[in-house]
Amino acid sequence: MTPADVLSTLREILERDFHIPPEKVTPEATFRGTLGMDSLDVVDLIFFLEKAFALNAGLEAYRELHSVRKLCDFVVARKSA
Amino acid sequence: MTEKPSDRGAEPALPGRGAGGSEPSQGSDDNDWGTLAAALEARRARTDSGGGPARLARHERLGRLGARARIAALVDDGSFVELGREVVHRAPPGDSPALDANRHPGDGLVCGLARVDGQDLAVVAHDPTVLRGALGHAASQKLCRLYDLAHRRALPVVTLADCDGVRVEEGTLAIDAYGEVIRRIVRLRGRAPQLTLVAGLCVGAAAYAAALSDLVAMVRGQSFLFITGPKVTKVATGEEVDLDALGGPALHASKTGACHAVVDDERAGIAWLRRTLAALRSQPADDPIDRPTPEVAAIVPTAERRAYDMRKLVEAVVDRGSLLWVAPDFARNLVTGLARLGGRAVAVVASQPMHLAGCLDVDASLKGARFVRFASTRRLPVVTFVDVPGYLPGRKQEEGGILVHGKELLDAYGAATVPLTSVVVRKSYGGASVLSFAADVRLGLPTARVAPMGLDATVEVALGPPTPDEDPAQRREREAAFRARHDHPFAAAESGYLDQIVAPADLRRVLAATVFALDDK
Repeated sequence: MTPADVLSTLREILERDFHIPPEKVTPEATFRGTLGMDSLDVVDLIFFLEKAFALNAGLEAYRELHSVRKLCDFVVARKSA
Repeated sequence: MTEKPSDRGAEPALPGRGAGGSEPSQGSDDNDWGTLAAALEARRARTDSGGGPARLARHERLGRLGARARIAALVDDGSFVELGREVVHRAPPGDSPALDANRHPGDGLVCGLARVDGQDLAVVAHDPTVLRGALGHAASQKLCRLYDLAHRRALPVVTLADCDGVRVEEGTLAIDAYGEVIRRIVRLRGRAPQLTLVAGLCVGAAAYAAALSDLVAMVRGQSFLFITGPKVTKVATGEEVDLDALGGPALHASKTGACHAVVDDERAGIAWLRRTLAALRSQPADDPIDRPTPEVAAIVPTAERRAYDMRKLVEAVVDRGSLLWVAPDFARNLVTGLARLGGRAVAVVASQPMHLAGCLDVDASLKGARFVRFASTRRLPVVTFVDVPGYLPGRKQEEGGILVHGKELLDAYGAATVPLTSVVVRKSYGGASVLSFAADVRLGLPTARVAPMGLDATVEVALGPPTPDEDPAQRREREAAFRARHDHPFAAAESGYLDQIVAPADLRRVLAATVFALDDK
C-alpha cells in the first residue's frame, strides 16, 4: 500500500460522507483548515478510515495528524507494521 | 460538516375540499381513502428517516443507530407512543439557510411514552441527522410536555442523548424553551429516576441536562460530553483541544465522575439502561436469603494493614447476579453499586482498601454523597461496608476542599430518609466513620475496630508520649493493657456502637434480615 492508495480512498470518503470535492483533498490540505472540518467531522472520518483500512488505532493515535499527507503516511506505516 | 440540503422525498398530493370549501359529500367519488393512505405512508417514511435517507445512511455507516432505532432497541415492542411526531420548527423562511434546509417532521427529537421490560417510562432520543440533534423551540416544547406527563405519573425518563446543544439559529426562543426543559428536569429529580445514555455529542445545555440525570453512561470512542466545544474553546482561550480530551468517556468516568458507566457500543449502552432500570426495582430472588457466606472469611484478612478487594465481599453477600457497579472508575477508594438482598433493591456503598487504603477524600466524598442522595430519593435502603482508616490527610486535600466536600457526605447520610445499615468490616476510624455511625443498625465482623483515630495514635494520645523517666517495660505493659481493652470488636459492641458482631458465614443472613426489619421505617 502506498500513500497514493490511501489518498484515493480518503478522497472517496470525504466526498461521499463530508461532501468535500476531491480536488480540495491535496497532500498539503489540513482537515480543520483547508477542508473546513470540525472536531466531530474528524472523529467521524477516523471511524470511516479505520473501517476502510481495517485499523484499530483509537482516537488518541490520530491527535497530531492534522494534514492529509500525515494521515496517509500514518495509515501506510500502520498497514506495513 | 456543513449542513447540506436534505434529501427528503416529495409527498403525494392530499385530497382537498376544493376551492370554496364545499360541504363534505356522502358520495363514493369523494371517499378518497386510498390517496390519504398513500400520503400517510409517504409521511411516515419521511418522518422515520429524520434528516433524510442519505443522512441516516451516513449515520448508520458510522456504526450508529438512528434515533428511532435507538428507541426501538430499548423499549418493549409496540409500546412506544410518540409525542409531536410531525412537529416542525416555525422559524420564518429566509432566517437561516440551515433552518430552511432542515424543516423535518419531529424537529430533530423523537420522544414519547413506552415500556421497558413492562415498566412504564418516558423516553427521549435526539436525532443527530437533523442539525446534529440541536434543540430548537418546537422540540423543547415536546420535551416539556413529556416531562409534565412524567412528573404527573412519576415515570422514569430515559434519554438517548446525541445533541449539539441549543439550536443557535433560533436565538433566544430556543434558549427560553430549553430553559423550561431544564426546570422540568430539576423538578422531576427525586420524584423519578432519570437515566442518560450519551450516544454521541452532548453539548452545552444538553450536557447540563445529562449531568442532572441520576445515572449516565457513555460509549467509548463515540460519546462526548462538554459544556463548550473545541471550536469555541479555541476562540475563547486559544487552547487547541480535541473532543476526547475535552469530554470523552475516560475523562468523565475517571476524573469528573459525570459518567457512571463506559460501554463499548450503543447496544451495550442500551443493555446497561435496561439493567439499571431493573436494578432499581425489587423482585423475587432465586438466591436463598439464609445462604451462608463462609467465603467472607477468606476475602477479609484479619491483619489490619493487608489490602483486599472489597468488591468481592459485596459480591459474596448480595443476591447472586444482582450487582451493578456505579461509577467504578471514579474515586475508586469508595465503591458504589445497585444490588438486591433477598430480592429487595438496595444501594451499596463500600470502602475499597485496594485504593488509597480506603481513605475518604474529596472525590470519594462527592461520589458517596451523590449516591446516597440518589438512593434516598429512590427509596433504596443503603448498606455501607466500612473499612476506612480516616480522611486522606494532606495539603492537597485541604486545598481541594475536603471540608466543604466531605461535609456533603455527612449531610447526605444525615438527611437520608431510607434505612441505613453499616457493616464495619475492619476499621472505622476518625471522622470518616460517618460511613458507619450514621446507620440505623451497625453491624461488625469479628475483625471490626472503631476508634477516633488509628490505634497506634490513640495509644499515644490516651497514655501521653513516653517520658524519659518512664520505665520502658512498664510503658509496654500499659500499652498492652490499653490495647487489650480497646483492640477487639467487642469494645465497640460493649460501648453500644456496634449492635452485633456477626460471623462471616452469617453476614448475608443477618444483613438481609436487618434491611427487611428496617424497611418502610
